[in-house]
Amino acid sequence: MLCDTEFSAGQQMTVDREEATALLKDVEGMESRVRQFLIYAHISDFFFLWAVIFASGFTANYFLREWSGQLWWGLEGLGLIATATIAFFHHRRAEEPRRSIPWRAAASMVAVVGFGTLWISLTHMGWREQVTFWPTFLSFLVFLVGLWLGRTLVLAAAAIFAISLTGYFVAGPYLHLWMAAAMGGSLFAAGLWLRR
Amino acid sequence: MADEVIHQSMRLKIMSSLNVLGRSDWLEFARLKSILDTTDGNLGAHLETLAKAGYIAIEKRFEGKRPQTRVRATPAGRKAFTEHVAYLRSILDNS
Repeated sequence: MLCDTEFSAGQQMTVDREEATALLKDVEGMESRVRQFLIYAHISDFFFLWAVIFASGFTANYFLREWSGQLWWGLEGLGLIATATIAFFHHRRAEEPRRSIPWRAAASMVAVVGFGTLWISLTHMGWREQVTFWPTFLSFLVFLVGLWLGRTLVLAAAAIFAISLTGYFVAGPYLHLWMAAAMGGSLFAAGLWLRR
Repeated sequence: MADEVIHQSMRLKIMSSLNVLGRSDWLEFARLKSILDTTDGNLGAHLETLAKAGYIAIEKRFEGKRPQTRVRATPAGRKAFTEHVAYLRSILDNS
């Protein structure tokens, strides 16, 4: 089918079915790319936040081992509040804000931290396993999310997982410092990569 | 009804990109160039055409010491884009 349309200069613009199909495909492709960019930009904010929390937490943990429990409860609580706050500001700027999103983000974080804490307690992990558990567990979750959202996230998560696991085998007594550099550095780098 | 300004392939892609953003959100020129995989000159020319039609707003400002150009769709641009996409869909629906 052909559709004729008046150009302002009096010319005829003809759009056939094939052209309309191709143009609509372009529209969908661009919308998808921009949505992915926006999602990545939002996720990168959380990466920057947790880069700071992990880097400072593991560094402090190395020097203050006797305060390890209190330190991480405090930092994780701070991280949860900051995560919910960032999610709140993201959702407020959204075109069609959904009130449940900040609460879902916070509830997801509580569920993840709760699940990890439960299994660390039940399995009586040693300190090296505990230190390695969180980075590998969290990067595994990001990996799963990335399978739905995009390749960049998958690669970033795989890199963080590999760096963290390597530390377990090679970092010896400096595992906390390794994790501070690995988690802080790689989350920050991944955040920048998502925004590139 | 077709919109001759938006109908051009690159301008349709530009409007598709800007329409996804929130009404008060801007997109940096450099980011848009990367999303569209085009050149400065090509993108600049099409943005100029869209701005003349009143479909987008272009803002040049300084982010710190770095000059930054950013764009966003105007309400008129969003309306024109929505109508043009509806027109393209109607071609498929009516054939």
